[in-house]
Amino acid sequence: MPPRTDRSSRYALKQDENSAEHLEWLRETFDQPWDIVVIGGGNAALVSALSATDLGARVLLIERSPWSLRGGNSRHTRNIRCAHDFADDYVTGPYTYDELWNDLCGIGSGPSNERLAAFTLEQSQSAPGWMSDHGVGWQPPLTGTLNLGRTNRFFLGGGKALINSYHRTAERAGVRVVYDATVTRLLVEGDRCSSVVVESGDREYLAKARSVVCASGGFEANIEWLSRYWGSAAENYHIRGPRYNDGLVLQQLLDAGAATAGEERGFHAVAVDARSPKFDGGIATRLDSIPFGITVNREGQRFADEGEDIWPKRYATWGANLAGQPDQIGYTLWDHQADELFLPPMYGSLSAPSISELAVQLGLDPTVLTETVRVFNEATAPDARTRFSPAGLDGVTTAGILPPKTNWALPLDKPPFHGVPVRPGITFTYMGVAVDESARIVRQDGSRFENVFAAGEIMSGNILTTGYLAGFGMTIGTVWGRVAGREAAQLATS
Amino acid sequence: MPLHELFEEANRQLVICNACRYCEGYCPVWPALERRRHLTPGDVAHLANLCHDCNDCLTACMYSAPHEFELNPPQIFSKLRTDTYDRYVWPRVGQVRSTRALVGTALSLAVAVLLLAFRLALHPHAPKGSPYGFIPHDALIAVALVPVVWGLIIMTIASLHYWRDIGGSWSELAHPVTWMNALSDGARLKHMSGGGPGCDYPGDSPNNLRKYFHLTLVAGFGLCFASTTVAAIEEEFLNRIPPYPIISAPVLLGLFGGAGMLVGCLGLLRLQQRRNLEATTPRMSAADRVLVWTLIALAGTGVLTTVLRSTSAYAAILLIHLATVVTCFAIAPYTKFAHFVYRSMSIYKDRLEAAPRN
Ligand SMILES: Cc1cc2nc3c(=O)[nH]c(=O)nc-3n(C[C@H](O)[C@H](O)[C@H](O)COP(=O)(O)OP(=O)(O)OC[C@H]3O[C@@H](n4cnc5c(N)ncnc54)[C@H](O)[C@@H]3O)c2cc1C
Ligand code: SF4
Ligand code: SF4
Repeated sequence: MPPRTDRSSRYALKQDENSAEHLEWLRETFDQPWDIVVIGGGNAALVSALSATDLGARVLLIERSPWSLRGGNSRHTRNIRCAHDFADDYVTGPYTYDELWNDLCGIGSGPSNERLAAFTLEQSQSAPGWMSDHGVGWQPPLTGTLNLGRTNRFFLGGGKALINSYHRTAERAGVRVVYDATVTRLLVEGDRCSSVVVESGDREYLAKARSVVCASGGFEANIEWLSRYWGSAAENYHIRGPRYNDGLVLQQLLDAGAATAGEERGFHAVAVDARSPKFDGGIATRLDSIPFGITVNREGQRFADEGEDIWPKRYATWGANLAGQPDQIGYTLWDHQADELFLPPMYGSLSAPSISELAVQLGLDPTVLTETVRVFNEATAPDARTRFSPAGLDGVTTAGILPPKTNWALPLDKPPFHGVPVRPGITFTYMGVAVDESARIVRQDGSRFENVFAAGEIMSGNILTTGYLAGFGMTIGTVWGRVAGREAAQLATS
Repeated sequence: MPLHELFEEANRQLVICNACRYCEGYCPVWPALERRRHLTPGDVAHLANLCHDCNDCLTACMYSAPHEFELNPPQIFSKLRTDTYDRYVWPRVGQVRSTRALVGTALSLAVAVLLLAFRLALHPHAPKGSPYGFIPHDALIAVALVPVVWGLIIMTIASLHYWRDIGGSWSELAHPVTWMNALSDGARLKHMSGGGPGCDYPGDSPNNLRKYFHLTLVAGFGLCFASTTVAAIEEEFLNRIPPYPIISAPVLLGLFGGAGMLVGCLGLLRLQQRRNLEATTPRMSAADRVLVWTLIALAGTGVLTTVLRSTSAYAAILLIHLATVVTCFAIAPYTKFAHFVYRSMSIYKDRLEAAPRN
């Protein structure tokens, strides 16, 4: 197979994976030694590849997915969070290093490795310029979303468009990309790895390189691995991205003696529609209704403060909130007055003229749910409606109930009432391999692998503990991809 | 596909888009969608005609096939647009696909009428190289005017129906400045730019080829139109009877216009052959081809008429050219030529809606 070019129509690209031409191309690819083999095909992988080719390295990139689904979790993203001192065409105001640092310290239990976190923020400042130089397009902040316009930059067309742009640049730079190919083993000798085993079709190949960059994501799509830390609850999780991030490479690295970074249960998870597919539902399945109503569990009881903080800061806590409930299911409810305040759910909502009828539709006990709503409504302030303001924290809080709802606490009393069942939707896991400032993977004995680097989700545990800032996954991948690619290239071409 | 099925499929896709919104920067379809939480058939027709078929949303969409959500907005919009082209003209020709038969019929009719006129009277005093040597002046005007007036009436009625169906009111039609802006957006193909870098057409990489070819085609068409207008003025008011010398406004405008149309058409045809077919429908491709070939015939015969006007082939080629012109006018409302009418209405509507936000 000749390199798949983006220039020709992509439907002409569909070809028989077992054709003699394709097999010959694979053989030729794996026969030659490469400067760098990059494992993965998401943001971190492509940034690593481009940063390495900028220094003249010859790069082989191994992507597990087929061409049509390439890009890992990164294909589902929309923005990146970087520090900047001034507004420009795409961000509405300054967002300084210090402010980003405070935000990072305010989530979960703060950054896990302060030095690497500080380095990430520092480097984030030059990331957007680098991205533009390598083909990424931007757009003004999306309207009606989570008011991230000042802190986050939005990719024109979203993450898949970004991946497509990087691939075009990579193609021009001579990066060779193999799709439908899984790295199953890293052949590590001492502190070096100079070949990896690649499975493609029903054959195995050996990719040989002077440096290896591991950018294959976390282990979020591996339910069995998740259940080591979450028990059987993990079976009810939805995985928001593709099935490919099962931690195969991460496991290989740990087996070869890599040190871990980050917490086992550290992850990013949000509330997604329980009716959505188990894998790869992406952005459209999330529910933004939570701050504008109440959320109950299977027993019809509220279990968390739905109005704790502005939604962009809190939406990532709801995956874990739901994970702690019986059957890992919740029901988010709102009434007519809240119906237009958030993005419409993609599967619509169940609705009924009364709470008890809605309860029947949702499969909940009508008496209990009616009582929960009555108690909640009584706890709302009499002047709630006049003070209510969805634009920011309005301090319209409940009194005398547990858990409280500390903002936007309007009574649910305007029919029709709406409800949607929700489940935890895992975006990505944090626990990964420990790295140093050169993105080299650290070993359990404190030494480093000389030529094995990591970038992206697979090392996000160096920076994140449990909480999350929207847009920071792409920051980690971009900053560390640049470092990994550069260091790997310097080593390989020296 | 019957309209309700088309609508349901469009609604299924667009509800996902409305929960996603990543494509907002590409074109006005997406902000317009966001202003509509519950879609009606009129809404989706409006969005479809606002779509300039740039392909960008498809290549950017993480939900396009083989993903199980199977999103393909350009394709469903194409289906809806061919439905619009069918729906509003009278008499309903059924499908744009049948245009081939229509072209044939109209062409033979036009030739017959012209031949008849040619037979009835030869203009005795017309100089060599003048059309009136073959066809009487009044007959020519009459034969050309009937389809023009017909087309104008049909399209006016169609566009007003369309306007009502997409939710416009009569009073909203009276904003001259907005009209000017909307028509200028349409003529400049402002929305065929993929949010800046160009359209992913015909393949997957952003570029502006289609925009430039389309602009060249439209400019060429405009020059030809100007050529005819200038000629009419010279003739009616200045009493200058054709043939005009090479270095004269009508001939030069016509030659450049014809050349522009040909370049535009051939470019578009070439791009269309390389197009990613899953982003469109066979019917839309056929409609595109019919339109482009019709325009090629129009421009080609026009240029030939000018080039060959002092040869013995002049009579024949003139007849063919005139027949083509008359035919094109006659069938215009039933071909994709009409697309700009619905698109202009939708751009105008979009400008009205978006105005309060600016
Ligand atoms: C719906 C959704 C929306 C998101 N939105 C945002 C956002 O707006 N901003 C943001 O910053 N973050 C967002 N994130 C998080 C973000 O996607 C990730 O943090 C980031 O993309 C990680 O990049 P990565 O390159 O490390 O991993 P990925 O992009 O997941 O790439 C991993 C790659 O490795 C490949 N791979 C896996 N195993 C193997 C193997 N054994 N052999 C070969 N290849 C392999 C995969 O196919 C994939 O290509 C979102 C995530 C989701 C799911
Ligand atoms: S086409 Fe795809 S990426 Fe674009 S808005 Fe719709 S769902 Fe989102
Ligand atoms: S194809 Fe282009 S113009 Fe049409 S809706 Fe998609 S992005 Fe807009």
